Amino acid sequence: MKWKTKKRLTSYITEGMLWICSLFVLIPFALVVLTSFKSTAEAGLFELKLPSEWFAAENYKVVWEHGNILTGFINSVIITVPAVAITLCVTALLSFYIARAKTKFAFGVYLYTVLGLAAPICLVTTFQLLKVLHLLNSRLGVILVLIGLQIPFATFIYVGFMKSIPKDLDEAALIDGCTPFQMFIRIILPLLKPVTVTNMLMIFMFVWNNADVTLYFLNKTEMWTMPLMIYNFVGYYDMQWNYIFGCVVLTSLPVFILYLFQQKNIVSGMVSGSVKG
Amino acid sequence: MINVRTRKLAGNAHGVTKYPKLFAMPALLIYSVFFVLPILAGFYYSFTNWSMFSDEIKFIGLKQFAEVLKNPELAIATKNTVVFTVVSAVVKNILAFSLAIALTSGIRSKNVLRAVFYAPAILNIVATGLIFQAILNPSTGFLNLTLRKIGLDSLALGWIADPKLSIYSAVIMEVWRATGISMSIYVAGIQSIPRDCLEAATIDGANAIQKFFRVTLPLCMQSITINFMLTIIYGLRMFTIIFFLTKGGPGNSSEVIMTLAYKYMCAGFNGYSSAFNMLLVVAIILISIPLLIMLTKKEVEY
Repeated sequence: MKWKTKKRLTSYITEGMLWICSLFVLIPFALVVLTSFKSTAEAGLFELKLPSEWFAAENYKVVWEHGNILTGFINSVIITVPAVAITLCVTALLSFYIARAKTKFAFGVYLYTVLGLAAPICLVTTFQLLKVLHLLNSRLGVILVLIGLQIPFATFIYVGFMKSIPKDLDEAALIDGCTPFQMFIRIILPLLKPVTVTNMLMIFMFVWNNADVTLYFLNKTEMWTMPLMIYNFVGYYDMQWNYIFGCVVLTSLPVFILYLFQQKNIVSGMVSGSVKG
Repeated sequence: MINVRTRKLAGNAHGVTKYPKLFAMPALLIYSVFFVLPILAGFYYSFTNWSMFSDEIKFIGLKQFAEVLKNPELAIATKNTVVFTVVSAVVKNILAFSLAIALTSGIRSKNVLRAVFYAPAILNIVATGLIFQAILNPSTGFLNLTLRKIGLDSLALGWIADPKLSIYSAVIMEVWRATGISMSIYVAGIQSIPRDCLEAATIDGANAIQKFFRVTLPLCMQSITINFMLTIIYGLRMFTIIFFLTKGGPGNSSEVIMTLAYKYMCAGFNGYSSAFNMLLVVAIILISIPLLIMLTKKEVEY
């Protein structure tokens, strides 16, 4: 009995300490949201309290009108949707080949692909390549570079999962007269659904939040995605933190809404990417 | 009928057409053209004087790297890259492991807390950079204003405006942003430890500290290795945190290798920029090959 109370007490203390730690995470978030409701003068004071005078409507109106939020959102969708869809399609096929065709060549392909998990992008030559292909400052160029960057990770996750799908299914499908491609589409792809969801969320988060590839290779502000729209906005509203943080709130909203509903899958996606055994 | 079946089966047994190489091609094509090819080309161009200012590209060999090594910015950037990588990797991992241990100790609100600790990782880096510019500004920032208010003026340092501290400001931001990611990996690692092991240790009379050092820690070695390698690779190729927090400044005090590569690309010194890029590629590949071998061994047995 005594041991049990002691254990419960430790548990409460741990929990309390964790909540105190969580303040380090929560305070910056609270600061952003509260500041976005204040007047410019009060926002500059960075006090962690409710605004003395609410400027919520005014601030967000300025941000909405001058922040190109909607344009940024549409641009983000235009880049993210094809990038995620194409990455998923091509890596599912590639991983199926790697996991099933147990040849030296397939293993070589796997090593070649996962090496990209570590290598950094080479700026100058990618820039030049896009220029030669007339893809510089175009969305297609950015999409292709982003797909290239995500192929290693997505393949790594797919290959790990593919092992759990019994090979007998392939045999059965082929005996029933499927072509390899039909077998993949009808039998394998539906079975990959859980890992496809994980992969989709991971690639989505990467592409949606990506700021550097767009910065390097898309020098047209009217095509910029949401993260760079904040960057653009700050240029005009330097030190006016009520507007800047209003812009941060609006541009982060889509991801946060997704996080609210898909929290488990997003976190487990990150985990499966690294410790899947 | 039977004949057809057996023939088909026999055909499959050779494994020739079952898994056509064609399946691998679309992904390999995009990956090779838009990722690998630029890196390989980068190796060649890092030995040339290619720039925006002349039409001819001359092969100048190792002279380029001699120039790069003489550049005082390389020393700053190398030091910063190492400081950023090592300090953020160590701090993130210690914090993440402690949080993971606490979270898996059977507390009730563990799911909410886990979601909270992970939340900074889903913000985009431009936003995070702005938040930390607001927090770490020495005169008007939230941190120093708060410290002064509670009488800790001596702790109100220069942060992003102090050349000595600018890279550590980037570390602070990275720790805030990414500790939740490492934490989630540790939580999964700890949860995968078989209950029996801990129970056996309890029966054998081990106390909590012994259990931690003798059972939990050794059995988490794999996730510790993976976490360290991931954070190190990630740290070495860091660009965005520096660029969106300090832009390499004040002066060039927080430049890292990738920001230098970007800076020289924008200035038009293409060959020179790829030399920086290639130094990093070589360093990372050398460091990460052990990790990749480990990971692939675990994933596929051939």
